[in-house]
Amino acid sequence: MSEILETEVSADHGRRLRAPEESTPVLDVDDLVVEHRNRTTGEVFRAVDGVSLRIDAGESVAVVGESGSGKTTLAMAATGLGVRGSGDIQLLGHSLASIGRRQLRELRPEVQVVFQDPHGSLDPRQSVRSGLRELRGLQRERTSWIDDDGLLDRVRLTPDMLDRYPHQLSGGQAQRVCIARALLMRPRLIVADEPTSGLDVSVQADVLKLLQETQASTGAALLMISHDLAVVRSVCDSVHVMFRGKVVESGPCETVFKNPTNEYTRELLDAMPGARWRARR
Amino acid sequence: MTELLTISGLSISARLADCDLRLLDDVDLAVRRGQIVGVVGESGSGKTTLARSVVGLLEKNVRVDGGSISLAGEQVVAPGVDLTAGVRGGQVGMVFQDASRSLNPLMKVRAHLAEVLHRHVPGIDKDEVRRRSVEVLEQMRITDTARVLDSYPHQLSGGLRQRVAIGLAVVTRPSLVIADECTTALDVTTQTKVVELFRTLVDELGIGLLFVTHDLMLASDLCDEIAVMSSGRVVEQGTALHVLESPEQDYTRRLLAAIPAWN
Repeated sequence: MSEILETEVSADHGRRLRAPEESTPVLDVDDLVVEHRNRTTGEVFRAVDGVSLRIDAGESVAVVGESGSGKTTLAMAATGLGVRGSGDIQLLGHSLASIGRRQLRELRPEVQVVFQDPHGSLDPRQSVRSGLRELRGLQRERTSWIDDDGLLDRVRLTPDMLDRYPHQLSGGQAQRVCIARALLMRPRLIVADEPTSGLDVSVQADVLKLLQETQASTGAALLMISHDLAVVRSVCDSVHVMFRGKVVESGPCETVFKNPTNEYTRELLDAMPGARWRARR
Repeated sequence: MTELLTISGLSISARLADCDLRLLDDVDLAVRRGQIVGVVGESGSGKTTLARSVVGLLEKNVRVDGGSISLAGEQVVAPGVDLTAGVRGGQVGMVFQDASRSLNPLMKVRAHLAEVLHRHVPGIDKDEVRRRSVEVLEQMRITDTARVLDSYPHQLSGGLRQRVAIGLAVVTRPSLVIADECTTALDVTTQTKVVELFRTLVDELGIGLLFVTHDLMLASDLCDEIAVMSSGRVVEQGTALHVLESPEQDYTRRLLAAIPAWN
């Protein structure tokens, strides 16, 4: 993914990144459009259609919507991960459209992604320990703040997990390893793309708590992609509802979920399972 | 009301290289006509094993140690007994989680339905196959039946594909349908429609439905009764609202507590 991006990024002028100011938003996206062109038919599909969103440090923002609504494409384009679009994207005060290759590489560790399928995002041939060693080799200074045992303890895993391979980990344990790997970089932005969709409900509760703690302890911003409104409401401050590439409604979770103004948001809320149970609680 | 499915004291284990692993332990469960019974539990709790044991779709190294399964009063599963081949697809219909994988990608919907009908309805003629194919798709609330019949699975949306899979399960007019996580891969709004469809089918056709899911909330919306499974046992069983509102078991309470709060 990064390879594709790097070849497309404009020439590198060798500039170093300037330090962002305190008040600079972690992510500021303005009027983002991402289109996919079908190579055989030439048809253009607009996956993200004029989306704007802003995330400040320490803030947690959710993007909800159904499959194909463009929420993952939005997150990937907004963080410079492989997908390119038009529109202005400011990541930690740097415009993704104009920064060079080396600068983008410097920016990368500031954004860490936790994906839906932890087993798909870990190398099956690497033990947890050797995976962490690889990350430390890439970012020596940045990762020296904590040792492996301490890091695993932060995600409530015991040190004996270090010698395990991904297939020897349960889904919940593997997702904790992924969170630990993200945490190691002390990122300024954590992108969590359906981080608990494949997990059992009791494991989901632990992983969500862990994500919140990680965010609180590092002061990072969180961009969470989810289709689960209850998960979003329990973790995030504000929410953007996406439908067919457009944000149809945005606002603080409490406002949007209590008084939805958009028809599609209402439809999503009505479709949430458990209405019968919640009505009686 | 007549009991359609009776599972009593069912124990099943898998023979592994060095030991036996108990998959189901003394499970009791019943489904009546016109009733939806939910089986809920986390991964590995045995809910899928329970569902598959009714239709004899267990792995080769799995053996029934004790107890029995009866369909409409006739025993089909007991230690050393497996008569499920005679009821599978005819008396019992099954819907799986992933419709795109339970349908043959090289066969049109029309051919899927014809195959099932020819197999389970002896002597059925072409016209009857055509008539019942259209009829069942209409029951699935599919409006453009002609297009769907002439489509390959990949040409249909996920929701439509799952409707076709449900259609295949009920086209032989079974008295019992087993649905194993059949809405898990669907979007919530599509899930709602499939769940509503199940309720209508159960009410209209008077079938019984065994609905396996990991989603307690979904089960609470749809099911008349719920059985909560953990480690191969049914730990709690009762009407949906009773199980959710006044759970008696610690495990059920913990499961409910893990669901993100909404209010």
